[in-house]
Amino acid sequence: MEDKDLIRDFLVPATRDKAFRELVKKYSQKVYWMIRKMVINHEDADDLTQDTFVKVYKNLDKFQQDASLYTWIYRIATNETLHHLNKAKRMYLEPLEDTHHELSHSLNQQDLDGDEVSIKLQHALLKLPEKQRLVFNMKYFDNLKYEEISEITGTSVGALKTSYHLAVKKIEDILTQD
Amino acid sequence: MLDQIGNKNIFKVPEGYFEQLEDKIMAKTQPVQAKQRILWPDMIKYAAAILLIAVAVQIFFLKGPVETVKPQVAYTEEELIMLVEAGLLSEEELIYQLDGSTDIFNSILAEEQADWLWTDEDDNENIY
Repeated sequence: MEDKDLIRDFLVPATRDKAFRELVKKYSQKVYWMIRKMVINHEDADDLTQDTFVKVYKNLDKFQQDASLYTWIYRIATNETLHHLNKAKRMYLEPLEDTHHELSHSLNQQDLDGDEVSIKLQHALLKLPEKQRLVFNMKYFDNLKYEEISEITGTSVGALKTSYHLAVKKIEDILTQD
Repeated sequence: MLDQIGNKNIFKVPEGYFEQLEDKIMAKTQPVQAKQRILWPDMIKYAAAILLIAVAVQIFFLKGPVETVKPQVAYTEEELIMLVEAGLLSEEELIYQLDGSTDIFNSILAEEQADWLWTDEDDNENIY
């Protein structure tokens, strides 16, 4: 079902639940994986994905249809994720390095399904600042266009391109050093 | 270098997780819907309770002081009049003793007032 049809049905009380279930079915996996790659831990990703869709449910009637529904949901998800990561830092007054260390530790605890170099890449990514890691993930893993990432993050396409290329360079340096 | 690594997802989720996730999300939106639906019935319930209290308060204050039930004593009217004359029973107490009837009390009061009530004769006396 097209997004505009989902929204139309959502706005009708009789078809609201059915339309929202369709929307969840369509986007929940993409949202979950985006969040999971940022927070690493499954339980946190699960909570944040649910929170994201509850917010979507509460605000969908106010959604301006000049933006794409997908990027709007992604934007809510990225805000939830960054808020979660910042809250953890504030709560424990952690320096950036400690946050990376914790996420890296969490990554080591995971049952991962990948070769050694893929796991090394994930460890290398954790050394990037969060927003740069987010941009890298959206471009590299989710294959989003710069224009879409720009809509989600509210950052110019030029700045995103620069950020991504710097991220690639940093990661390659880290992987080469290891 | 990154091109050689590829962008394969290396994370795993528990078996059947995404099917459950849909249900969990839908369940979390239900309280939101339920709250919206029960808003009016709740308001009506509270309004009815407030109205009931208001009516009860109004009835209580309009009715005046709560009537106390005095123990009934089996005196005759003559005996009661004697008790009042002897100063053993006040006129107010006499009213209660008469089971709500004020006839005797009124008659006693009328006799007492007869001495100072204006009459036409009194008016005539005062003319000159």
